[in-house]
Amino acid sequence: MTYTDDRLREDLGSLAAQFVPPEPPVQALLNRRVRARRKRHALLVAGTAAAVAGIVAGGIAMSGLGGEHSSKVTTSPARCSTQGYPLQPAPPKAAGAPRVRGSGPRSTAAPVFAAAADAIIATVPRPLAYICTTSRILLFTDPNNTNVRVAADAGRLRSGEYQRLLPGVPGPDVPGAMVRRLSNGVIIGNRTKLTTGNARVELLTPMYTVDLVAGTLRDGTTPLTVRQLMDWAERVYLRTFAPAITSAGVG
Amino acid sequence: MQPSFVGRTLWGVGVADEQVAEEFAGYVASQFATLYRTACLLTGDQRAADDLVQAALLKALVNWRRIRDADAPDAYVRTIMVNEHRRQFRRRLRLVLVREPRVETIADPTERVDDLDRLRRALAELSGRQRAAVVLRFYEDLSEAEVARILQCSVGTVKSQTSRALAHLRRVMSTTEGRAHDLHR
Repeated sequence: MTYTDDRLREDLGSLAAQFVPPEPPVQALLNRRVRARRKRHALLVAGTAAAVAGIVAGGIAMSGLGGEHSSKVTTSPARCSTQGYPLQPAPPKAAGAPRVRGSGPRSTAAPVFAAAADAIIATVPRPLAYICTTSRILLFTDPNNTNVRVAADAGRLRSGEYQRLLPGVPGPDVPGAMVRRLSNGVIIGNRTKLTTGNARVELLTPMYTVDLVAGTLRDGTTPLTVRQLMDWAERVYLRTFAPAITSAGVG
Repeated sequence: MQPSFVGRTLWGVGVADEQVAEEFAGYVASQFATLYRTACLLTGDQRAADDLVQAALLKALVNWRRIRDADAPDAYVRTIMVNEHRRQFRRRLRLVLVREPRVETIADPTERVDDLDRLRRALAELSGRQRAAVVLRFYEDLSEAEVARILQCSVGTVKSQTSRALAHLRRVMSTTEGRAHDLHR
């Protein structure tokens, strides 16, 4: 029996009809638009070592959002909130003076770290400094700090997502839907509270897209080292986003 | 905290967004189902379709002023979606190392279900461009010229891609051969 064009049309229509569309996510899109524009330099950091990794990966152009033990360096203090570590304003820059890397506002928890970060940045291949200049957020967590079981304790990582992103790397197997789509960006829902140990991270903006979550998992495994993070960034993230980033002239 | 779109300064440019937000919300409300189903056919997966539609609409929203003034905003949004799908498709080729296990089906009295399942899998076997050509041509019912504009290629390419895709679909969907195709997986 010949499969005619009309039959194909009919079958495609029937097949499409099987897919029941969800509610149009209008508000979520509008919220994401705002965040995508306002927080192009966005990086969610939890944990000191993780923040080093974040700075290595993201350069100075990042915002920090996290709890205790979450050293942060940020260029967007108004959008950040920490518990007990308010952000210090950047020292005024003299007229005509060049902007110094690392001179932006930062958490009071971060002074030592920022100095270290400056040193690290100087040694890092330049493209890595561009990683977080898209509208996405990289969520780095500290392999050595319980504070960093953020994603795992949030309990919303889909089983297998880690494996999809990083084949062979063990990941949490916690059912749920609040954090998802790691392979091309994890969406964290509105005002998700990420409770971890003695710290709580509360996301302030409606929706975040997180490209990578790394840290100590509930079972004690450490999926990524800083070096692996950097390798991942170079291997996956830059290849995907670098053209757009470069053309946007951000950095 | 509900965001306000009025008077926000985005990238240093003052934008009164309320009207844009309303227009966009109206557009999404009216077109979302269609776009979603098209995305389902393009991706073959509802979750991926959800991602795809959202990504496309987000891009559309950022450029909504330009899009709404275009002659055919639908075509504009479809173009974004197809391009986004191709981009994700390329990325997925790099990232996904293990193919999902195929679920084999056997012929049963409800042949319609079987046929649609076979069509779904046959679509998944097409290249991204071929699939897009078929979906746009036979589901969206667009002309070859419109498909060419969306795929950003020549009409001749649309014809050749569609022809190859149809040849594959016909081979798979022709009753006898299609079942043999299933059985030989």
